[in-house]
Amino acid sequence: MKVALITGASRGIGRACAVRLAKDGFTVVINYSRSEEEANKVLEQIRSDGGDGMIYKADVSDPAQVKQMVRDVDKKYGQIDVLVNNAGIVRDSYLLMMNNDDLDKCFDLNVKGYFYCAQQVGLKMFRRKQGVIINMSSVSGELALAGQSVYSAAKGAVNSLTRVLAKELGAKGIRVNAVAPGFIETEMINALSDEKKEEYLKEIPLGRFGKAEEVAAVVSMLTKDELSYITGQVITMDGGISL
Amino acid sequence: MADNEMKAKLKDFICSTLGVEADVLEYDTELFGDSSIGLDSVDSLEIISYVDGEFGVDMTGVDKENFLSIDTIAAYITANK
Ligand SMILES: NC(=O)c1ccc[n+]([C@@H]2O[C@H](COP(=O)([O-])OP(=O)(O)OC[C@H]3O[C@@H](n4cnc5c(N)ncnc54)[C@H](OP(=O)(O)O)[C@@H]3O)[C@@H](O)[C@H]2O)c1
Repeated sequence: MKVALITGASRGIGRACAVRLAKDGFTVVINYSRSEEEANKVLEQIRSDGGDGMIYKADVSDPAQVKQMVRDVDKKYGQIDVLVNNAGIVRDSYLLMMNNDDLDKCFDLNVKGYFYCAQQVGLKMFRRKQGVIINMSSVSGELALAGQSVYSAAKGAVNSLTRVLAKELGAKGIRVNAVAPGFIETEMINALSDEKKEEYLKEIPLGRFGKAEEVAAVVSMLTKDELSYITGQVITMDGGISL
Repeated sequence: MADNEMKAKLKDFICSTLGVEADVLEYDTELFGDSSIGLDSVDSLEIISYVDGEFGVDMTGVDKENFLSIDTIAAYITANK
């Protein structure tokens, strides 16, 4: 048995990763913070596909809850093979409109939350000298979009974190990579106005938004032994928007 | 677990995994830095991982002085078990 813990897996990209990794044969831990009904639906779908796992409620921006979650999962399954740091929020605003609460929330979840989970899961992986950590970044980690300074800075931090952790943990058999999607059809994108969507579509060479399942396919690939020479990389999949 | 049993386990681990000779390692011998044992920060990661797995005590982020010697590591484990 192999175990994958995916943060923010009740909806969107995390959900697609949970479903995909379960199909790949992982026992999947579906973390969520509020959407219990959705998390249960993800587990139901996984079970109907012949897989298994559990849901786990924890706010991953809180280090105590992360510690408890990782302990409980390790106790139940005895190992964690893959961590997908995915739970994230967007708080877009122009610099002069930015409020400190949004700045804190974005960094607490999108950056510190990734640290907390990597530290606790890394501790368990360290013991077994194997493991894969995948950080969900964004094309915004590199690309400058006006109004996204907070989110971009957070994702830029995720990219740096990915590279440094790959160096620190590589000798211990742990690989760390990031996936940087462009615009993916999730609630994050659905919340945009039609005009904004049109504007973004014009910038995407492939002429469409990506699908959460396509992000999950890249995540799946990064867990595979066949690709086990890849570490410290940020894999961009964005329909060409960053070109 | 008795204090001495815990210390013996820690000593065994440090000798077998971190390549320290048993006859130079007392429970109060300084482990890191310029000491005769000379463990480095990567070795402390191994100790953190071992303590978590063996005693169920999380030493991530704790102050360096807790890693001074087998005595101080054991004291931390006892206080946080
Ligand atoms: N959608 C895109 O176009 C896009 C593009 C590039 C990168 N990304 C990145 O992909 C990741 C997922 O984005 P998404 O679009 O799938 O978002 P989403 O649809 O809004 O889903 C976010 C997920 O995170 C969970 N979550 C939120 N706060 C949490 C917390 N404090 N603790 C634990 N879980 C929490 C949510 O669960 P609850 O509802 O239970 O809180 C939900 O499952 C993010 O890191 C995002 O930055 C997205």
